[in-house]
Amino acid sequence: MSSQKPASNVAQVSASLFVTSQPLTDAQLCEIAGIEQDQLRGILTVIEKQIAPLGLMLVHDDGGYMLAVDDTVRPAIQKYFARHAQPLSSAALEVLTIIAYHQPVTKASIDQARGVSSEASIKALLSRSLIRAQDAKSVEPKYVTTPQFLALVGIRDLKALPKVKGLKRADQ
Amino acid sequence: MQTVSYTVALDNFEGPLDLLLHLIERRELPVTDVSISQVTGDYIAYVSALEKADTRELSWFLDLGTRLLSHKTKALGMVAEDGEEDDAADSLEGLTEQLRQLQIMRRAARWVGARSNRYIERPESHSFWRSLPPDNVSLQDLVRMHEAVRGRQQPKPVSKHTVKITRIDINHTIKGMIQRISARSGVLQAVRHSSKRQTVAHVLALLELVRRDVWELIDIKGEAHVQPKAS
Repeated sequence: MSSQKPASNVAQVSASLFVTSQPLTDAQLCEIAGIEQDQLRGILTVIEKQIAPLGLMLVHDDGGYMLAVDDTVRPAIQKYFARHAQPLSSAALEVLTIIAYHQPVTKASIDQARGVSSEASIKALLSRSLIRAQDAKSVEPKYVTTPQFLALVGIRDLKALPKVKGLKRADQ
Repeated sequence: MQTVSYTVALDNFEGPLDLLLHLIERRELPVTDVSISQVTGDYIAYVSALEKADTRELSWFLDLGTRLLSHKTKALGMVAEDGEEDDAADSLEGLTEQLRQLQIMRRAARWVGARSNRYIERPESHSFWRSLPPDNVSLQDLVRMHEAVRGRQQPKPVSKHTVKITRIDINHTIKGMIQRISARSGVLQAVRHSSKRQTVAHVLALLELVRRDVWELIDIKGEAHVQPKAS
């Protein structure tokens, strides 16, 4: 019986990730599966291996974990799902990129980098859950990307962002 | 004033370029909220798509674009006053670096755009899952809310109808029904009456005969018939 327990935890964690369209944090996954934090890493590694042949991958950052499609199935899936997509404006893409590379970053820093107010773009990105305020109660919140952003561009974590030559750290 | 069909589409404004400039000059729209590079980039794309460039239209854009740029440089404090040449030089250097960084970000944004231009969104059909149970609501809260909702409902008025009880003599009804069955072909016709009370009485009588094991129901070509049970 004891040999079945890890499989059950794997099933609980993977089913939780499957059923939600929002990222789940370490604490939430541990609570769902009734496990300790140190067990979670091993379970997630198992899940990553199991879902890879299915064209799925696990994306994660400080905001939590999410399932996303990987590059092997992405083009085929886009043929159907992308028809319903509302494309991001060029301004929103620019703001999203600045946040991705400079996070955590304030609106003032983004405005300064672009030479234009980014309020509308930030609102649009927040509404699509591609960014979040790291400290929402702050007078001047700092913005970071979310696991939804990782799923959008199809990378596992922020380390997988393409390296950019000549990039300087923005003032926070 | 020359009329040109070209319109700009920004996050915070969509309409003719001359109207944009007009609003800025009347201070109804902050010029700092306007991306001149986006306006210019969009216009270059627009002109490139034309079969033949109209020089009058190009000069019209240059005129409006120059005025727009002038307003923006003033608003951003980038115009040096007398005796501020050194500051201006520093400012220019900083501005150059800022523009270089922005160019780098725009190149990176192309990658983000290429990866996300066909956006795969996770369906929201399971959104209820994350809302149940709500974190900040206890069972007691839910019970209180339920009682409050019930309290808002208007009580239904009590019916004032009275029910009149009619007694049926089952043996008398059986006798009458047997006469009807013998005169007609089917049971359904025998029990069917214009009076609901009579119909109910005959159905009860029929059930009573079957219960007493005196009569039995048989199926003939999909039609129910009743007949005395063979002893």
